[in-house]
Amino acid sequence: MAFTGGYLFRNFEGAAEPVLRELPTPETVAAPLDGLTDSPYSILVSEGQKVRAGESLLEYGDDALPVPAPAGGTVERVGSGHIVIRTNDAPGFQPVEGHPRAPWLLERPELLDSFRASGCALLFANRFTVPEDFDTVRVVIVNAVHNAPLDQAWTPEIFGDPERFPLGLRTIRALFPGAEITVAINRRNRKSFESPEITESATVRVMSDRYPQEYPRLLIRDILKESGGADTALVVSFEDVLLLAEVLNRGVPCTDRLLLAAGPGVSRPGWYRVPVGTPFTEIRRHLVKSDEHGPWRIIRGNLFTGLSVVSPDAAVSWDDREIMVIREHAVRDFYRFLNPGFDYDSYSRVTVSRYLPLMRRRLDSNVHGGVRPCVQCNFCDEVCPAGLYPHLIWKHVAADMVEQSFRFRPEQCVGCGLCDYVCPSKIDVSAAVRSAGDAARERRNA
Amino acid sequence: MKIIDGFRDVIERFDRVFEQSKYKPGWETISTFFFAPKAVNSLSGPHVRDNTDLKRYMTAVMIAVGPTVLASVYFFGWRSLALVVMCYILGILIEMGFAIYNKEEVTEGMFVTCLIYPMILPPTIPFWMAAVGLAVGIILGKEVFGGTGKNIFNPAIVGRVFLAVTFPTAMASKWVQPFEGPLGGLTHWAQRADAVTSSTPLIAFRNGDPTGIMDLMLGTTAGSLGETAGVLIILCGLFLIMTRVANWRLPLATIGSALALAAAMHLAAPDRFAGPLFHLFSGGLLFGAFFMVTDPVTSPFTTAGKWIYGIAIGAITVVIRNLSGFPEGVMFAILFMNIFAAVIDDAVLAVRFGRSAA
Repeated sequence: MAFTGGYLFRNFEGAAEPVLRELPTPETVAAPLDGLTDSPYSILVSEGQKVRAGESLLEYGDDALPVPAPAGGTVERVGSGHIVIRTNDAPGFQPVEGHPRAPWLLERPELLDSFRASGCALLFANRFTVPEDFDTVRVVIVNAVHNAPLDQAWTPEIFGDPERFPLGLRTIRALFPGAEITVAINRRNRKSFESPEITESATVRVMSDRYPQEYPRLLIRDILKESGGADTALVVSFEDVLLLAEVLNRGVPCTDRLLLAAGPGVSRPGWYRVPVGTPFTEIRRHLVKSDEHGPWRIIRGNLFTGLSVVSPDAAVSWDDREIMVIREHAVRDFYRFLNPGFDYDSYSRVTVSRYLPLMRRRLDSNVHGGVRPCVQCNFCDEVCPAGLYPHLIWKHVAADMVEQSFRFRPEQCVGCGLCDYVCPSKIDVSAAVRSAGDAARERRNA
Repeated sequence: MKIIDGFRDVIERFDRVFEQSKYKPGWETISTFFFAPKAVNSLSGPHVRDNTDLKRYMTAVMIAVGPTVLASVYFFGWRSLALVVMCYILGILIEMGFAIYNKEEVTEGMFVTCLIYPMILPPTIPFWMAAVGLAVGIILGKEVFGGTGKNIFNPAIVGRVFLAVTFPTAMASKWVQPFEGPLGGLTHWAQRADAVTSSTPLIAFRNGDPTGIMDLMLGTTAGSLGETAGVLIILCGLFLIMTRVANWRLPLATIGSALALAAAMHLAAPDRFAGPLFHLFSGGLLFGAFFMVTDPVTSPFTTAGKWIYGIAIGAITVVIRNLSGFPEGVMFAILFMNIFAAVIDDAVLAVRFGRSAA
């Protein structure tokens, strides 16, 4: 199935520069425990205790998986959502047992033990906790596709050392010996993936440059040429492959994230290496422009489906990938609909910016218009990467006819949110499609 | 900027005055005409939205139809602009009334209806008659179905067809020749009474007096206000397609099928049936194909449905023109296919997704 629909985002204000930077070590890190304490768990540290980075703070689940301390220091507070560590006297890190050794030299049981002991399970939302879990994977897709508005400058060179990615691929091969490995990339980066070390251990596939090709469900569909397969396929980001290589080959505990921070509100948009548990207040202090130019909305996740950071306790977690900062724009613009729109982005071509590709487009949180009835403009079904009719499903949901909408396959929605973006009537289309999709899945499982 | 800020303050003061009033939807129409709403996206996403709203979308249609309004002034005098202004005033009043009654904001679709409707009227139409037609078009063609987005028929065509059926003499036999000379109608209010003729090119062809193709393309023929200038309409229509507001499939299917059928009939009986180019540039085919067939609300939303719909309209138009008692058939063809738009979609969806269980 070819990738139809989608949207080419081009030239936005606040787009990331292809640079990797580090933030100063935060004064405190708050290891997030969201979801981990739902199953049986035991806390291994107490307040006032000194810990080294990588030392286990907590064991969770039936298999007693460890949560490594993101940084060394003194445990300040053990709460239900976080374990807060003050990083004043960091005494180095605790190496993962049996390291440093290349993982393909290890026997597989030892390798899986290292995977477990280093906290790597946290990178995969705890999908791999026992050895049998690894055998369910038939295809591993390494996701290096970057088509979102602000991250199109991405190249593998950002992350330095060209040896590390091939090392990561060999690590993946060792973890999933029976699986095929495919690296999904953008055309502009294909030269960086031509080295024999990469092509020997994986198939490199050039994917579409249109958003939302990077969504896991679309990658699986376009690479496996089938709509199912989500149970046997694993999509892992390029950055996580680098982290796996580090953790499993050098014995560094799994404590860092490689985050994209971009948007008009980020002072130096680019990629950042930050410890898990870095509080968002710290990120705001170092990365976000002052509120004089804002106010700013800080979003965890992407511009379409991420969540705004509102809680003051929020901290970077093991599954964070990007932070977006856009202007909170509650201003009534004068004659907005007659403004030629030099810095407006629009799917339709009714703004001047469509004809001036070099103008930087501006992103803000304004809805840009009043909510109106659907006029069947076809924008949402033209961009839908799953080939759905989002407005049709929305109409059914709005009319309380969710059951009748199942026929139009709402469960195939990949959740990219493009339909919300392009809608000139400002309807929350994707929320309706998602709810219909959930209801359809529930019905099938019942 | 200071003036704008001051103006914004005034508007927002009125916003507060009307906050609790039952006339709030009516006021909001005026308020949001000057200043876009300040609403921001929800905290759970989507966080960014496209800069096109329905106002800008409909404005694109108005910009595209605009040149044909100017052409109508050039050909038929300033009276046609007065007709447009009257339609706008009446249309806004009716829409505001319904907005207050339904407690909803006025939808911008009406700005297009009020511009397209006068363009498909004959130049001699009395103002009161145009007003009656517009009221019928908006109320029976749109509001009874629940307003923009829910209407089955194109309201402009409903009004036009209502007039054609109710006042056949005024609507079908009182045409005028356009003004001549470099300034055309720019120095006139309306054409003199002695310029009234009973025939448009389509009627003239039936009477054995075909109009030259050059006159048809430039628009120097008798006809409805906005439909005569063929080349201009094509350019405006291409603009509309370029902005993605109109779907290119609809005009292409309509014009393509009309041309094909007209060519086939012309080849079969060249004396009886006019050639394809004559059909293309005479009457309302181009205006209808670019500005009314492309109405997204009343056309099918599936791609295959759009092709079927357009092809049917083009074919029916030529059949009515060539074989029925009516010289012109575009309006009837569009209105007729409006009925089937939903059925066509249903059939296409049944093929694609299977039939519904219920």
